[in-house]
Amino acid sequence: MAAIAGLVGAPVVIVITLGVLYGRFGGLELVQRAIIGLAAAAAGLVVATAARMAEPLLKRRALTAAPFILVAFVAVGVFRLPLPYVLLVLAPLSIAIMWKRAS
Amino acid sequence: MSVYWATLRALAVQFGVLSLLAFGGANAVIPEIHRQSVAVHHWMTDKDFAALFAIAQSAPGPNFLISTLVGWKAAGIPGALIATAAMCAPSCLLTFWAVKAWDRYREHPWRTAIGAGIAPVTVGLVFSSAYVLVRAADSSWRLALVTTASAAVVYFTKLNPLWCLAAAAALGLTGIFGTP
Repeated sequence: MAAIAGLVGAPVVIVITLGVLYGRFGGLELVQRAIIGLAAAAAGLVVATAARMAEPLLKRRALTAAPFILVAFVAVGVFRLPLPYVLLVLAPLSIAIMWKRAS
Repeated sequence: MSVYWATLRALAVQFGVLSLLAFGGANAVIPEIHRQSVAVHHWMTDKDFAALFAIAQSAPGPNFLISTLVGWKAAGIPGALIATAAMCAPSCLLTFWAVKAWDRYREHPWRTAIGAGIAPVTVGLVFSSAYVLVRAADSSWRLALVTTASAAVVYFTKLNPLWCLAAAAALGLTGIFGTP
C-alpha cells in the first residue's frame, strides 16, 4: 500500500501543481498558444497508441477483432453512447466468440 | 456549498465506476470522462478538456492523471484528490486480487477467452479516445497536421513522445496556430 501511495503520490502532486499553474497563468496568450499546440500533439499520441494496439490484433485475427474494434469505435467515439452499456453488450459477445473458437 | 458537495460526490461516483471499467487502461475511458465532464456535468469546455489532457500527458506518471486534473477543474484540490482516489482505489484493490487470480488461471481456457475477447473492444475504445481528443484539439488544418505528425513519429519511430509534445508546444509559442 505504501509502495502504491509512493508511486501515485509524486505524479499526483506534480500534476496538481501543473493544474494550479495552468489555472493561474492559462489566460496568458503565450501559455494558450503553447497549450493548443501541445493538445494537438497529445491527441496524436493517442492515435499512435490505438494504431499500435490494433496492429497485432488485425494481423493475427482480423475477422474476430475488426468488427469489435469498429463497433466500439462507432458507438463510443462517434455516437458518444455511455461506456458501461457499450461494454456490457460488446465484451460478453466478443468473449463468447473467442470461447467458441477455443473449444 | 451544497453544489460543491454534489460535485465532489459526482466525481467520486463517476471515477469510481470508471476505475472498474478501465481494464484497458485510462486511455480507454477518455471518451466517458469527456462525456461526463463536458456534456453531462458542464465542468469544462471541449477545449479545456483537450488542454487538461495535454497537461496530464506532459506530466510524468500514469495515464489516469487526467482524472486528477478533471477533479481539480471541477472542484479544486479536494476534487483532484477525490477523483484520483476514486480512480485508483477500487481498481488497485481489485487488481491486487485479480492479478493473483489471473496468474493462477493462466492455463485456463476461460482466461484466454476473456483476455482475447476484451482486447479488440479496448482497442476500439482507445480509437474513440483518439477521435474525441482530435475533435477537441484540432480546430484548424495546421493543428490537424501537428496531430498527424506526432502520431506518425510515435508510431513509426522509437523517439520519446515527450519530444513531440515539446516541439508542438514550441511551435505553438510562435503563434502559427493562433489562440483559442
